[in-house]
Amino acid sequence: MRKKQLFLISLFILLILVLINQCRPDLPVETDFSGDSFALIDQDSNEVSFPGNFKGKLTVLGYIFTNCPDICPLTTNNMRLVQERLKKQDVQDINFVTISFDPDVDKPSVLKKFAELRNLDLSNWIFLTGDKDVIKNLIKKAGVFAIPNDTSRTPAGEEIIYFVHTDRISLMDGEGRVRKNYYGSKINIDEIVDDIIKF
Amino acid sequence: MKKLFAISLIILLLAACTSKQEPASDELKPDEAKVEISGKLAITDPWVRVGGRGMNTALFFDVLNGTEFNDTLLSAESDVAELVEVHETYMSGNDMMGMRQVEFVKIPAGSKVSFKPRDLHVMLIKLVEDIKINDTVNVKLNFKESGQVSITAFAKEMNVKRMNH
Ligand SMILES: [Cu+2]
Repeated sequence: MRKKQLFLISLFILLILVLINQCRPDLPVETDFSGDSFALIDQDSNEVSFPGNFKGKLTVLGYIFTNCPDICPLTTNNMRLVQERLKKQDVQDINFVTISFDPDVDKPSVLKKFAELRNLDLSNWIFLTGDKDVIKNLIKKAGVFAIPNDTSRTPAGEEIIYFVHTDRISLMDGEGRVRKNYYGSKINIDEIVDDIIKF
Repeated sequence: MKKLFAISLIILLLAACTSKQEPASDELKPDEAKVEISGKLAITDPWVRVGGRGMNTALFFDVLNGTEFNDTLLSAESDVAELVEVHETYMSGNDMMGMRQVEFVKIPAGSKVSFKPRDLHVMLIKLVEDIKINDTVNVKLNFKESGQVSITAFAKEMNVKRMNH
């Protein structure tokens, strides 16, 4: 091999290594759940520890309440689009987790119904609810706000509460650290899929 | 020749590393559409999001006011829910979203007003039965000038845009 060729090839390898390194997203830790253990329950009433049960894999996290007819279904549908895209690109081992910030209404059966109506693939997707105080602490730490604000009253006198809430999907790393936050209802699917692939 | 190849490869790699920043797919578009005066007020593209019994959902459509009169949507009614209200989704601060009832929605003469995700909707509260994909839902819209207009909406999860072939 000629010297010039050898030089060119080495230069190539060096450049590619530098570029691959640049490709890795430089994502700061937004919220560190790594030392936490929130006791929650899923849509089938199984006990789940957050983030413990999801460590070791990337997790796409969404926050909803099911009485919400617009923003939260959009957030959920966007998570479905991410799930479908990753499946198509053969990216495996990603958790999808939806957390309700309205545990008074969102009992496991309600969450299950919410998912079933949408024919969601729950093979790697879980819906979580739990004790009111546990949920409160969790979302507070996540920087997610959910403030009961507007209401409707049914003819039977029942009050339905609508939250003003943070519109969010997050990407959590394998150690339970949130590395990036996105707008849930209008997330750029390409952006989060890119972030996941580069991780 | 080799240099050219090397440079192209580097450019390619660099391009691969720059993340795309396209706008979100469901970003709001301004409704500047003018409607021809035909003497009629029409409702087009009605659809309702799936929802479970005892839960809530939203109905969406376009109102095309082809009359010479400014009109107003005052209310809506339906047997599928215990309560039906006209609502708007609103933004609060940088990244918070909420939803509230609106008293009425003005539909100016010769204009189109869209009830759409992240915006205006007819809110179906406490559904009396499940609304599943492909179900139909009958709703009556009450306008100040045009009176009552009945519509039938198909149930789906998202407003999938028709493909142009
Ligand atoms: Cu509403």
